[in-house]
Amino acid sequence: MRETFRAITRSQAWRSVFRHGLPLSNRTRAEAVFYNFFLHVHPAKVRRRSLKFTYTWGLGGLSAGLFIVLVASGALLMLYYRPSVQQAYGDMKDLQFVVSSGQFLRNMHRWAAHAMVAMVFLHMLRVFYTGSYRPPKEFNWVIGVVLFVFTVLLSYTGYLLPWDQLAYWGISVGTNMARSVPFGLGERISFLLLGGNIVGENALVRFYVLHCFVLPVAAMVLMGIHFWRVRKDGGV
Amino acid sequence: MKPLRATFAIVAVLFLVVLAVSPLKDYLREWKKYQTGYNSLVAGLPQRVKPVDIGIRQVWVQKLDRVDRCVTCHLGVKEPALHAALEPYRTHPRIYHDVDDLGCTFCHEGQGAATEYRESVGNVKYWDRPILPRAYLEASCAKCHRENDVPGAPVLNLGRKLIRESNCAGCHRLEAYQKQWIPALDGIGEKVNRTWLVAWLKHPKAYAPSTKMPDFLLSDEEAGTLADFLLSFRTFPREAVLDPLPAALTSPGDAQKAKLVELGATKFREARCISCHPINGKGGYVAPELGKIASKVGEQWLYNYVKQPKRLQPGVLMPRYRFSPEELAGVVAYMESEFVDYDMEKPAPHTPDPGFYEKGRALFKKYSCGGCHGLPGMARAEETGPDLSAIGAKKLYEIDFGRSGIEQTLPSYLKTKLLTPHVFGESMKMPQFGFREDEAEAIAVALLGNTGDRIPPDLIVPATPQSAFAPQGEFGKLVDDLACLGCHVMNGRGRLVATDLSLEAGQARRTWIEGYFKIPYSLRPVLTERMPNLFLSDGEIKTLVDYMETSFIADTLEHAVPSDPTAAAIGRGLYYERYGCQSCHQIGAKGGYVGPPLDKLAVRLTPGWIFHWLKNPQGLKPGTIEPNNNLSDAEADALAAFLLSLK
Amino acid sequence: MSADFRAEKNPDAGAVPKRVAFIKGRTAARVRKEDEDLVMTVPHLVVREAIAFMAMVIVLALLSLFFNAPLEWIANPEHTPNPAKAPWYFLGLQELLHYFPPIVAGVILPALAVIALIVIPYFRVNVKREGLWESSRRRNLIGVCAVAGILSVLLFLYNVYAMLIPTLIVAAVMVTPAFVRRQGRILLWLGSRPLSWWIMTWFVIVVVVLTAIGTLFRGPEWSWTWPWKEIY
Repeated sequence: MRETFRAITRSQAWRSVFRHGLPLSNRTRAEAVFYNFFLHVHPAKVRRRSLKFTYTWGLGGLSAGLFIVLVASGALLMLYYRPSVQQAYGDMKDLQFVVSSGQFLRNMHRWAAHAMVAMVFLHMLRVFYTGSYRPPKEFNWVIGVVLFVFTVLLSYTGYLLPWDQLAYWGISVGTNMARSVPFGLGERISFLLLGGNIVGENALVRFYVLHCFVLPVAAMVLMGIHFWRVRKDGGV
Repeated sequence: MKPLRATFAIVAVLFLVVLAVSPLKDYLREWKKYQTGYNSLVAGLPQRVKPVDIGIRQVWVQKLDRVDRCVTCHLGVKEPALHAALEPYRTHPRIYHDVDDLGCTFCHEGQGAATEYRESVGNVKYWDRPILPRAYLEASCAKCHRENDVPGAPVLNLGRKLIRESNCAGCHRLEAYQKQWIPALDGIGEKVNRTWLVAWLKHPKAYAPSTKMPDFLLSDEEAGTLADFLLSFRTFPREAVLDPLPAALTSPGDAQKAKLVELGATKFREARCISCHPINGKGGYVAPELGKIASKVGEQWLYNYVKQPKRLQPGVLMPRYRFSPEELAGVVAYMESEFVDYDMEKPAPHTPDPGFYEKGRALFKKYSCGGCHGLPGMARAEETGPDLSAIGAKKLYEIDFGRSGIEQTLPSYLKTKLLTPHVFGESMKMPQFGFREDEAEAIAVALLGNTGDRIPPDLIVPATPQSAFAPQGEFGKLVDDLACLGCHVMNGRGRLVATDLSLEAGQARRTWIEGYFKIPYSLRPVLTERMPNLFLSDGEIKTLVDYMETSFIADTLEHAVPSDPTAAAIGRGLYYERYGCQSCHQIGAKGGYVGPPLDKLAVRLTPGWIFHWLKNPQGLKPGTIEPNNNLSDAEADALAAFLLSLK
Repeated sequence: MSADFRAEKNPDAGAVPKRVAFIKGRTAARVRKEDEDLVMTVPHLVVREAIAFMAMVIVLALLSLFFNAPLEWIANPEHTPNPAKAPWYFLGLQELLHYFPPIVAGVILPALAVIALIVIPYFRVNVKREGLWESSRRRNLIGVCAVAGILSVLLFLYNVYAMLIPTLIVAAVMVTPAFVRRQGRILLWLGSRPLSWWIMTWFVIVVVVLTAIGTLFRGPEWSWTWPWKEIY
């Protein structure tokens, strides 16, 4: 057993993927961080103090974790969902009644989305109260605020997609708020967002594109910058 | 490090377990239980019934854009061997539609997409079209069936009839229903007295239990004001004015009056007024109650109305009887002396409130009286009640159940609304029609069919077209004057109280028809609705029969029946031996009572009619109970010859 | 002067020459702490991250197994539910809309909030981390009372009790350390909070209160409705 395991980890195929050995020595452990795309946002060594959970409460990391959950469940949901007024609601029902674990997927996506809005807000509070926005991290704070806005927008655009009463009127109320922007700008913003004067087919498609492509990609780019800066500024 | 490792291990295991639970929950779905149950049920049956493969089943009806998964559990729907099985496996009762063609929810409603019992019947909060209760199921027929008489849907047909008769379309927008004829109120101030009118407005059914006028639950004050308002309308249409009463009626001596009343009573009976008018609840049903008419209308109005009904109320379906002036005065005198409400209060002197006109007008508008009644100077009310053209799709969240405390479903809402409109709130304007429970249910059924769903055109059974038959010339004038279409149907027009006359001249001989006009009698004397004697002149009868001889015939009815005695002898044998006709019909006062007696058949019917009737009774009169014995032509000829020989 | 930063100290003057660091008052003092012991990221941090992530997914999955995501009736543009509510994170704004004209509640206030959040690090509001009453107590007291007073009057005029009450409470707690002589631990801690901390705390409390009211306590016509009362 052990021999087989060793043989596998020493095979060329394995080593072509994982360039470092098993993290048994400090060297290979450091290499695990250097050579791993996902871990390279971390330094090879971290201060013991920062390992304490209450140091950051893990809020930023968990927000990122929620994002991963959302992308995964969202991608699966996209397989069954068609953004059209005729079909959207029926697809929800199909998810509930026919698709294997469809309801579970939808639940995960929904609850994770709500949790993420709260989590990102809490993360922002933590950063404020620990004063972690002070120079040189001020710009990263700005990115963080923008990411918070994106999180809310992601959740909001996704809110319309089930095309039920909750969704329809939630979005109508929200876009009506936007309409109060002065100088006729509000009307234009809401028209641009909805692709019309009321929430309809166009709005559904627009929100779908925003929700599934534009906002996630933008958020991912900003997240990349955000994490990179954290790392550069000596964070965890 | 140790506790961290342990935590990691535990969390990792938990993580996998939790992620595995979710597919497990999926695996234990409700419908699987029903499918395995079905398979074990059919395994125990004596007949060979194929078990099903476990999996979700559905009917996809593309033309209706519906996916119904009901058949996931209702597995025996098309399996005749399961006609006695318990639900959900029982065979569907035989209907004219196929489940593969229309699916399930198109008729039954409920949530077709669902695969769980509670969700599928739709008794869940967020499904707005729950399954229709059995009593209301015929509502779905109405989605496609727009014809007058939907086969196999008696409740729906009754509901539609009631909607038409109650003139719901007067206040509500209702496609496919037209406003019914309801007396315009022109000249009502010259017609009725105030005491009667107030009592009538307050409670119409107290005066005439069969009236279609609903009870608006008016207060005394409202009824009084509205009566004052209505009584101010004293002019008749087309500037008609009441003729003065003849001297015989104004100042008769006692002896003269008694003679007049006696003459009137005879004529009243001969004219068979009770064929149409009920008197204290007994008699016909198509016209208003006459039992207390003398206490309702003024004598002068009554005299003028009987003289020329359409002059005072254009469009009314009352024949103008050809009474002589003396007979007319007699009938009016008889009615004035006989049909009095002795319980009615003596009219008290009354001065109307100075603002009565404006207030009354407001009330007239508020209760949408104009939805049914015309009134000079008042526009016909637009639909003031809610639009009912898509009431069947009304969402529960749009309904205010108020404090009614009824079951919160659309059918129960509609039924309750029809029975007791005010239970949902005092301010409701809908009047109380006094429907019975089954009538309210029937109307609810007819209304629930108005779902506004998009129906593919090829599924729609169109409404029975309205006949455009409108006889012209002398005959047309007579038909109008005599209101023939109030009881008879001609070429699809008219109200079927008596017979359909469209083939009358092909059926009956000319001489018989002429005689019948002179002295109408009934083939079945038990009927109330008998032909009245209109006291027509010979010229008028000739006009009528001439027209009928040219128009109410059919070439297909022509047939010569052999008149030789041998044929009649064979026919006699067929009558008494082979087909046993005497068990229902009488000849020479011997035989059954189900059908009419056949003694003088030859006088009444044409040979062609008898022949074709014997061949195929339902072909001439759909729905008749005369059996179709599949006679050969020779048999029919012989039987007809026998019947014609009975002179 | 309290230590915003700490110069490196070593009692052995012979080994380490004394250094004095001059730091301009307006820059943040980021002083390296004594070197701490470092640990390897793998496995110490990565394992902890994995645990946190998996724990979160477990919680989410359990939640998803037992609570279904809401799905109401199909959208019906003809029928506005009463009340029509936005998603919960906008209900604070919607609650504001109940009090202020749309332009204020829907545009100005949220824009101000976002802008304020963005500029926090540039305004150095929290740079000194100096307790509010530690210096110039009198001036600060007048300032705080004036701002809180004006704000309260404004909120009172608009009947915004949902904001007025938290504002008054925060203001009261804020000025308490300035008046109380004998301070316990809590008061001492409160007294050492800087102005920016107070503003943020006030902001968070107001947001939470408004969102909670909008989510839980609003029924038909946006009237006060207890959460246990069925709306539809």
